[in-house]
Formats: sequence, C-alpha cells, structure tokens
Amino acid sequence: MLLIDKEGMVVNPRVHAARATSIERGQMKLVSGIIVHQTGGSTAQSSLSSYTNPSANGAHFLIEKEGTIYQTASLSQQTWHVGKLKARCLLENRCTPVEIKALKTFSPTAENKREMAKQAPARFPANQDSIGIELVGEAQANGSYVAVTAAQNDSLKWLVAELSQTLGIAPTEVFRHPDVSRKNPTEASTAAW
Amino acid sequence: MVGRLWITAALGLAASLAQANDGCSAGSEFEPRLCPSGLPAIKQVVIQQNGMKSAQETNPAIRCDGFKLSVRQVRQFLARAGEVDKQDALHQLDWSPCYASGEVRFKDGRVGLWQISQFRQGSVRLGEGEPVYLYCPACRARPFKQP
Repeated sequence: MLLIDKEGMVVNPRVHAARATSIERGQMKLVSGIIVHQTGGSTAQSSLSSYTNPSANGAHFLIEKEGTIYQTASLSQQTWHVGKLKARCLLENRCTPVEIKALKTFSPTAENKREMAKQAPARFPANQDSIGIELVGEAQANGSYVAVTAAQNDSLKWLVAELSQTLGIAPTEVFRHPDVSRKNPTEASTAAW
Repeated sequence: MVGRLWITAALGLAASLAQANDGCSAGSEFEPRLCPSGLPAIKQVVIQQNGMKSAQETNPAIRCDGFKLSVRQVRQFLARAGEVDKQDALHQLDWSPCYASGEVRFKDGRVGLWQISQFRQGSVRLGEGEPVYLYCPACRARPFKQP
C-alpha cells in the first residue's frame, strides 16, 4: 500500500520525486486504469529535460532503463498521455449494431467522442481518469521500440501492483498504449507486470 | 462603444493565446503544438517508397497499397507541415502503418530523407541528428485519412 501525500505525490524510497507541473492538465478526480508507454528516447534525462518546456506533455511516472522510478506528475492531476481512444467494444467483441455501423466510417475523432460519452470500464481509461507510466526506450532504425529491460519490468511490476492496491484498480484495467489508442504496436510490447 | 472595445480586447487575447510570439500554435488535448518547421525551400523531391506498410503492423487485414503520394503532394506536405515535438507526436497523434518515403533536396544544398504517413504525420532527417517531426492538419489530399 502506497503512502500518497496531499499533493498527490508518492512517499516511498523507491519513488523519486521529479514533479513537472508543466505536464499537468487539471484535476483528476477518479483513476480508472493505468496505461504503460515507452518514451521514444534513450534516457530519462531527455524526457525530464523536455518536461521543463511550458507546453510539454508527459505521464505520471518515468522508469529509467536501470529501474529508477521518477514521479513526474501528481496523482491528483491529469496528463495528456493517451491520445484518442479506440472503441473498446471492438477488442471485446461486444459492439452494438449501432456502434458497428458508426465504426464503418473511419474517424478516430468521432470514435474518441463516442467512447468518451461512456464511463470506464465500458471504454478504455483516458487522459481524464488514468495514470501513465513511461518506460525509457527508443524506437530503433527499423521502427520497433527497444526491449524493456529486466530492471524496468521489475520496477513496473512493483509500481503497478502498489498503485492497483492503493487506488483499487482492477488488473483488467492496465493496458499498453497501443491497446487503447492508435500507436506503434511495438510500444511497450515487451513490458510485463 | 465600450462593448465593442471589450470584444476587440477579448479577440486579441484569444488570438495571442492561440498563436504565441514564436509563431507556434497553442495545442490542445488531441492537437499538438505546431511550430514553423524552419525547413529550407525545396528544390527536388524523389519518392523511393510508396504505399508501404510498416513491419510493426502485423494485422494482415490492414492494407496500405491505397496510400500513394504524388511528388506534388509530398512537396505540399513538406512545405505546409509544422514541426511537432517528438513526445507530442508519439503521445497525441494517431500512428498509421501506411507510409511513403524518399529523398528531398533543398535549395540551400542540403539533402534529407523524408517519411510521411497516412494520418498526416511525417519526418525529415537531415544528417545524423534527430529528425524534424512534422504534422500537417492542413494537408487534405485524397491519399491522406482525416483523423
């Protein structure tokens, strides 16, 4: 069980505070799930440096290749880490005839809007109600992301378990980024928790 | 008169928020902040790959042979696109497995490698450094899909 202070910061020796208020985008009243990402960069420092830009975007946690965990945003604040949601009913084979008809017209913007009219878990967790965890990892020349290191997966497993227990997040509500929105399928594909 | 002044002031403030002094747009939840790309004027574009499907896409049902750009469309993309932060490109924008790629020669003598995807994202790599990440919401040619 994690101790979270009134600012939404985890108080634990395994989590290093590196809060960047520049990536916070308003109050998060409810946490419905966790989204696991890879940064696209090869070092934590490149992400932390980019967060100093006033218009930067990021997620709540950042895990370095050797396993160090940084908390980069308050757990009571949203960050824009998800993008437009895909229709969850497609993955779970439970779309209604009306939804199937609407999905025949390609429009990720309209699809996201329809999803956001639902409450999780009828839809995937979104910017408004999810915690983002970034694993440092670059895309290689062939376009595939590098493999997540064993140290990163150890830290990820611990962090997901602690957050889930503390905030009451079901195991079914933890996703890789490409599961919930249109992203490179190799992003976080080797992440394990 | 006072009302008109308030409206003018409000419009001015809105405009300044939407477009900062650096020429960049403000950005929003699903539209990244766009800045002038700073790419030089284009001399020549060569298409080397067209209608390609990314090796990262393993779904056999997805086809990319319909995404074929003309030289004119590539030139328009590179001229109109804004530069987007890499982090924003990866997190905010939709990824498409369909792409075209090739070489671009600029009037200042530099040569770059370009790649453009069906969802209007792209990049230009000049030399060994990080590529310039591009996004062109204004590009509405038929091969592009409008997310």
